Amino acid sequence: MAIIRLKQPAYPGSCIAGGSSGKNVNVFENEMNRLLHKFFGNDLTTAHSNAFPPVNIYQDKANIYLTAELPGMETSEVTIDIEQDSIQIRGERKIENEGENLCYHRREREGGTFSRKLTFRSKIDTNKVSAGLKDGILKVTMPKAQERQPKKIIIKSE
Amino acid sequence: MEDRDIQVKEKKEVDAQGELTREGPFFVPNVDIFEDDDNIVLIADMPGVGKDNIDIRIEDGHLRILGKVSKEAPGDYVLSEYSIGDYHSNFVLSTIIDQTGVQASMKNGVLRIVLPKSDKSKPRKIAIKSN
Repeated sequence: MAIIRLKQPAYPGSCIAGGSSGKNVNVFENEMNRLLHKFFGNDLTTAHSNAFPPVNIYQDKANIYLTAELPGMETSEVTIDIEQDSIQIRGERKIENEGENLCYHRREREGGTFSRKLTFRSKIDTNKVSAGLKDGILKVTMPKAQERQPKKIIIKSE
Repeated sequence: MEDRDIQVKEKKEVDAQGELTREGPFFVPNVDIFEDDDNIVLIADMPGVGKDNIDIRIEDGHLRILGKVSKEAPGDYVLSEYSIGDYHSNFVLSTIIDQTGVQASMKNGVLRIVLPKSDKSKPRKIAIKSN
């Protein structure tokens, strides 16, 4: 079985919706974390998740970005499924068998299958999603669907 | 082999050493180290490090690895589950390594260093002569 986890905290204005449990109990905490993050950077506010791969999510006006560390993986070994409001990342990280009769001094690198699904609050334009894998970092760019993008209204003077 | 779920490991943060001047957290990469008769091989997961951003040095019997990672964020943080920072690692080399023959390669964020053993430290097979 693979890990499937519907997570995500929510706070007002974020593009991420609450998990399957629905209740957004941690709204305040998450908002505090986000503010702390702006001041102190990563260390204090990393939300350690027990799901693989850990992801970072960013957004700007037009896009949601997801990055994940997948060292040693080829593009053919990762599958991404996009729905209007969710993304699923699946794959298997293989640690090569280096041969017989080896004496291991350390073995810290992990292999195995994984699957992870994240749900977003905003809708994604699924046709324009792009993904790349470079130096072991996966980056998925998900344009927000048009209706969610802020629209600027020009006020005319009469 | 049966399918096995991958285990989640948190990145291990370390204090920067005095001479390093880059900002931000430093991490120790997860490594595999093994040896066979001829070589000691070190494999390190360093996602985000390209082959031009890695510095490998052998000095004073130490193997030092420093991998630089771009900390550029594409937008505002919404969720941060892993921290981003350079990788730094230091290994003591035993004298049995032929330091001139060390080879390193980098692919998809995984560093592989092959440290050949010097001839005198390779296991020798002793032939038994029959009389």
